[in-house]
Order: sequence, then C-alpha cells, then structure tokens
Amino acid sequence: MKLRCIRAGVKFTVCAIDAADGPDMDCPAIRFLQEVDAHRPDSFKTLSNLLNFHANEGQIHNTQKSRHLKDGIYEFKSNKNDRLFYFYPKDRAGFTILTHGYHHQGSHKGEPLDAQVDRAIGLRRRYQEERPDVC
Amino acid sequence: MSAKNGAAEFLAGYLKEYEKDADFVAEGMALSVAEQALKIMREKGVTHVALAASMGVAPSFVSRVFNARPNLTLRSIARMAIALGVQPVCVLAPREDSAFSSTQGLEVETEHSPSLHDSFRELKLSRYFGPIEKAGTPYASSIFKGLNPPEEPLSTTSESRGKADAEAPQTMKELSKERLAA
Repeated sequence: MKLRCIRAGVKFTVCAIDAADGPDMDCPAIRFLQEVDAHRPDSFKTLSNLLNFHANEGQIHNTQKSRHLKDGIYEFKSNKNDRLFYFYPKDRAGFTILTHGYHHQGSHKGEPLDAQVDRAIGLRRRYQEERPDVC
Repeated sequence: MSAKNGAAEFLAGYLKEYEKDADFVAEGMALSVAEQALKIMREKGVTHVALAASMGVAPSFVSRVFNARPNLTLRSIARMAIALGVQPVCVLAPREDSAFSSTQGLEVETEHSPSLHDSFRELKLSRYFGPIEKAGTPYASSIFKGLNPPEEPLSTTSESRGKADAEAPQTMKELSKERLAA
C-alpha cells in the first residue's frame, strides 16, 4: 500500500490510498475521479474545487458539500451524486486520506450505502496497519 | 506543481487548466461565501431557519445558497450579508503568477500610487461618497482606465444617507419582526 498525493495545500495535504503492493497503481479514489472526469465533467470540477478548498482553507463545514458519516469517515459530495470518502489519519497531522468514491444512485440527499462506508472503514484499517508512505 | 514530498499532485494539471474557467472559479467563490456565512452563523448562533426569516426568504433559498452553485448572485450575497449584519467585500486582486501584471492594463502611477487594496477601498468609497481626494495619491477611479464609473453614486448626500439610515431596521431581530409582521 502507498499514498498518492492529490493536492497539497496550506492547511491539508490530501492523499489517496493506493492499495497495490507492487509498482502498479490500484488507487480507487483516483480511478473514481478519472471516471467522473470522463462521464460527468461538471461533477469532477465540483470535487476538484472541494479538494482544493479543503487543502487550502481547511475542513469544510458546509454539510451540503462535506459531512461526517460514521466512525470517523467523511464524504465530499458533488451536485451530481458523486461521493468521495475520506478520513483524518491519527498518525499524520495535516493529512487527509481519500479512500474511494462512488456514484450515489437515487436522491442526492440520500445516505450512502452502508457497504460503501464499510469499504472506507476497511481501507482505513489497512492504512492503520501498514502506515504507508506518500509516493 | 508538486506535493510537499516532491511527488506530483494528481489535481495540479486540472487546477491549472480550470483557473481560467469562470464556472470553476465562481463555484470556488460560492464555496468560500458559504463557509464564511456558516462561520458567522455559528459565532452568532443563527440557524438556517432564522437566517431565512431575516432575509425574508424560504429556508430552501438558504439551502440553495449553501449548495454553492456557481450562479450565486451578488444580490443573494448582499441579502445574506445584511441579514447577518456583516459587510460584503468584493475584491479583484492581482494574481501572483498572472501575466496581467499591475503595469499592464491598469494605469498605475508608480511614484505616488497607493497599494491596490487602498485603491479598491477608495474605489468602493468613491462609489458611495464621490471621489476621495488624498494628498500625494491619484484618485482610485483614475487608476482603472477603461472601466465605466457608476452613472450616479448610490447615495451622495448626507441627507439621503441619514434618511436611509433612519428608515433602516437596526437589528436582525427588528428585521425579522418586520418581515413576520408583513
């Protein structure tokens, strides 16, 4: 496992978990962002804005854009139902770690699927066990 | 652009591309407005519903503002600022890496020119109170050649300002009461 840098700002360095053990990349968050960029460019711009704002201005308190879900897992939300999960690592102050993202089906105000939150918790557990470096 | 550890940032190329995208920039500004409004609301203990009442709008309107759409209007920002009892400030500051430097496009006199911040402040004040004369500095309005000045100041006399002030509600509570009574 490694960490891929997404955006380094004044307040936070936003990284994404790369689950691959070898030289290949298996980064769910980057893969998701690339998919959003290809299919919903407006949504990608919103997520880019949120990530950039978060990196430079700090935690976003506007719950329509970012909110705490469960057990230390947060999400960034775009207007097109794209959700990007993240957490604050206890061992690295000033870092925000993206786990993965998904396109939420149904109402944009709906709660994310428990399975998606569980996946984020699972990736965070792996992160805590392996303590990967930023590559 | 690179990360603190020297690795490339995934978003760097995109952000470079988007910095000239008006919708992207506007959305960033809307995000900033929403965050600032939330901060003030937290400090003053104002809820979304109370803010909507003070603004004389439905709570859904406030919700739309916090949704940070790029088409957030200046009128909406002004209404929110009035309701929160704060002053909106509109600033067009030069970019650090911009090719449009302070000597291009802007007719800046270098010897006695005020700082850009002062110029904007003067421009803003001159809009309301007419040109401000200051010894040793040019009028702010003379700095921005090519920009049309307002046809007439919004309130140029002390009488009209005094009248407007006397008619204006003093506090958010009074404003809410008036709106509710209406």
